[in-house]
Amino acid sequence: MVQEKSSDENQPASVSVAGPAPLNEEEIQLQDQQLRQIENEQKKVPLVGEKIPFTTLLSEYDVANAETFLSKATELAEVYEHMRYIRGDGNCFYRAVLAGLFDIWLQDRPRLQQYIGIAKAWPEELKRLGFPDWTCTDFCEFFVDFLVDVEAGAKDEETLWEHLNADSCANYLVMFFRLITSAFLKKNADAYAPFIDDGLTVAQYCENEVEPMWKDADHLAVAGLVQALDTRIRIEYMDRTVAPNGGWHYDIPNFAEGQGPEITLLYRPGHYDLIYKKQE
Amino acid sequence: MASSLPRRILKETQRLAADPVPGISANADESNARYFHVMIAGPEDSPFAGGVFKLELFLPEEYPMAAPKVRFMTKIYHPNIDKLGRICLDILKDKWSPALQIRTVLLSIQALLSAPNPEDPLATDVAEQWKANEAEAIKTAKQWTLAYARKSLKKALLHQHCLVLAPTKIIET
Repeated sequence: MVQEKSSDENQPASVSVAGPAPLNEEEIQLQDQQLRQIENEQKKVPLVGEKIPFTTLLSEYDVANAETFLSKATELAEVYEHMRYIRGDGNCFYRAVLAGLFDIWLQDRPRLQQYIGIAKAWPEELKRLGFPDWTCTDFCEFFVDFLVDVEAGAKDEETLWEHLNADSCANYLVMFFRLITSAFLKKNADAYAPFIDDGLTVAQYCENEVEPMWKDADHLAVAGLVQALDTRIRIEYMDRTVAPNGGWHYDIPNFAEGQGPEITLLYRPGHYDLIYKKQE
Repeated sequence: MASSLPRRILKETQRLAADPVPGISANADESNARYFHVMIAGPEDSPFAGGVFKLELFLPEEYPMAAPKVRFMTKIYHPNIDKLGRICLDILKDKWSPALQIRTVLLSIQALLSAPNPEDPLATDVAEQWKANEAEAIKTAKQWTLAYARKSLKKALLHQHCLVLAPTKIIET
């Protein structure tokens, strides 16, 4: 059931005062310092890396420290040829999907046109679901304009990848993904409510975890975005668990055997990168 | 490239001017379009009624990806606002979303004045007092409003700030 809510920008956000126990001045400073360090580490990696051989991944592990990871990576290297590292700033899932779609848009014009159609339908849907007008639809317009530019060939391929690595542009595109992820989950709130803990509603969950930037996507957000975009993705899992054939993957949504994924991501605990299959 | 003002900020500034929030004024600084002079009238049903509170709001370079930075300039006795004027509000921190805007932030601060929450304090001493003896705390808050927030009001009137107040009796100072 869809909950109709009037969109009114003259409403305060549903707020509560933040935080657990208050920190003293020293603790706050220490925390800020640590956060800045993490941020600086993150920024050493581009938002979306160059397409590099998948085997690069193997060099991250050695037998002594990470045998399970190394053997899984070796197995995956049989199937996958290239990869792009994605910056670990909490947006990696959204950004990896964006970069994956980029490849498709640049190669498959009819599919690009379909995506323009999908994107154009979202502003009305967001308004209907009670998202604040104009701040949200602004992100939709930005996204559609961007795709239309790609279609018109207004920017060459290199420039487009540069845009994907420029904070201002790239994060606007990511924010569109966050909004439609949230919208999809809210629209199908009845189906997703059972998966949310802590007595939160689907709307509250989205406001806490999906709509703010820099928050990692969990499985609900993954399912939401994939369906909101009407795409198919495969996620290869690489962790320490022992799994059949040394690893496993999830297909989202469950698509038919003959139908391959449009995008494949590599998941390592807490992080997604984009990977490309070998051509058969 | 010199950082020109993003379309988003221009749009928000225009909207704030064209359709102000009752009880709140927000004016961009003449020399810095990312810096706003804000006045919030204490809500009628709160210990802050009759006062006008001066705040500063700054839009960082990353805005709207990062939250606006807001601070009370007028002294206020409130469990969620500390002596430096910093505000404990989740949408200014980890719940900030680019889907929100300056208007949402100001409305939320106005709401915080109506509903202090001593369970989740920033100013711990104030919160303790609020929990131990609410009547006394409210009395202190009213005294502070009289002592500090009236001055802002006089100043506001003096400088002809176009403070759009809700139809209240505040003007009758």
